[in-house]
Amino acid sequence: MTVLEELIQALSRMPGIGKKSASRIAYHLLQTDQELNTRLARLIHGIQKKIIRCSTCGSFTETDENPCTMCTSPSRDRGTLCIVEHPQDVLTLENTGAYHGLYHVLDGVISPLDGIGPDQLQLGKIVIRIRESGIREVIIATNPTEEGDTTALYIAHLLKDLQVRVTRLASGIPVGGDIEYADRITIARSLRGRTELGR
Amino acid sequence: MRFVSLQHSGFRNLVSATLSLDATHVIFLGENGQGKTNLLEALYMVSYGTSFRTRRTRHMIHFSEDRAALTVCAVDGEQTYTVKVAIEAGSVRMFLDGKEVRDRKEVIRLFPVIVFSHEDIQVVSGPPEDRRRFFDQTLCLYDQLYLDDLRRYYRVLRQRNQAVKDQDERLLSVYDIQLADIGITVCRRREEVVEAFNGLFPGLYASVSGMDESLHIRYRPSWETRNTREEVCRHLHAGRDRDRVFQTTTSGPHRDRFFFIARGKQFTDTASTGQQRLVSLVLRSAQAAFYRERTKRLPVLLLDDVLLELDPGRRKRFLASLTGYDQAIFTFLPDEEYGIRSLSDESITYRVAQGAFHETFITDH
Ligand SMILES: [Zn+2]
Repeated sequence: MTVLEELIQALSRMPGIGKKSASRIAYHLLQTDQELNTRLARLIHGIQKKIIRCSTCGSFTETDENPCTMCTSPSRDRGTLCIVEHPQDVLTLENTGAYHGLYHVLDGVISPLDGIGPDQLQLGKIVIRIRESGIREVIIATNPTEEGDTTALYIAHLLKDLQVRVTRLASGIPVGGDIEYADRITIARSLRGRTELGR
Repeated sequence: MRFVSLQHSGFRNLVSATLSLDATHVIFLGENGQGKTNLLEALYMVSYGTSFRTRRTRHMIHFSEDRAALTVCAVDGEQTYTVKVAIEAGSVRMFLDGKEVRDRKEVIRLFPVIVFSHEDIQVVSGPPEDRRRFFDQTLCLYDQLYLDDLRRYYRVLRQRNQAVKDQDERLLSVYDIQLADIGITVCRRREEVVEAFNGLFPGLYASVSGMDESLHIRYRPSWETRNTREEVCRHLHAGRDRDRVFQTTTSGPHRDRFFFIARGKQFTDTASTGQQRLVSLVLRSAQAAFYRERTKRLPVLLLDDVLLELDPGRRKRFLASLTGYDQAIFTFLPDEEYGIRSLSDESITYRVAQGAFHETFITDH
């Protein structure tokens, strides 16, 4: 295998990158200026050493910022905790600009078929965090899958005896999505889970 | 909806070709093993993305080929559709008008196809699973949300079964809630379909069988009471010891039963094979009628060698009872031509030999 082929093969292991895109990227790297390649190599090489998981919430942070800036920021709403499946979900929610509370990353969802039970997730820590801080509301933002539902229900049970309000992110037709083109199942499910509008 | 043409290559023993199917009745005549059923299977594949005969994709590919491809054109009123199915060992990909289909239920909705096959007798005499599958299929034909609920139910069930095996008690109460919520919906829909069938099926059966015996369907859900989540959770909770012993979830819609009842007794206890076969045929007719009633659309019927074993009177009455379809596609043995003449308006007939199809004309003798 040539070096180029090896690079293509390595690139095609990236999510969303097929063989075709991988070879386009490889040929681009081959012909671009050396500086970009050096910078890329340096960044890729260092990423796992320099980016760690926040010891409080589990999202990504840099080595010298642990707990992360979100956990320590005085301007965030410290009474609300949003529970997400993966660290990258934090970024998605942050990008909306609509949420200003704290986060907690589970690192997956409950799925016995995949060998993941409550003990494999960052669940025990949630109860401790809620007890020790002034959290009043917990928003569960797991995905609307069967496993996401299981995990949400399990967390709700876990927090039953604590003085917190527990809510789940609503799922339905995507904003800006045209009802005409939305998946029929999504529409049918949204109908089932419809909410009362205040008058 | 009706099929207009089918192009096939590398599919089982069929010799690659393009066949016109543009008629209300399409008839394939041939000896067994020549490829008649393979052609019906191909039409089923383009409608459902799965086979009614096998789960092994390799079986559907000609032994000397690596892949098979099926392309069908269909019309529904003013609309025309092209569906392509690409079959390789271990993979089936579907394309609707050139775009890959993410979920097969998108195509099922467009192509309502009902298959009458020899194996349908299992619906009457086979294990309870075969009857559940029949009624689930009846609902899925027109209701995608039911199909979605069913898939979710089985997904949660598999997770719960694993939790039972792992003896993770903490998770069982969560799975009980999920199974209850989805399961209650599944049971309600099954109750509805049985009620609708009992308005269609007994009359159809009486007219085809020529007997005035009232045959109806009884649904017996595994959860005796199932009005609320709490009721169902109580069932599941009470069954936990049994679940532990059997290492699986022992109650729920996956254990529901359906029975055929005549004169207050279970029909299958006393019915002959011929009667069972007739019931299975009429069930398919009722399935088609139910689809028509719910959707106001006409299905396509695929009938594979089904007249065999019926006496001439019943054959005639059965064919006469088949109404309200856009297209019906039959396979017959060569000496069954008697049955066909009544279908000969607007029909195309093919003779099938060694996987090749030749158009032929049926004449009155
Ligand atoms: Zn943090």
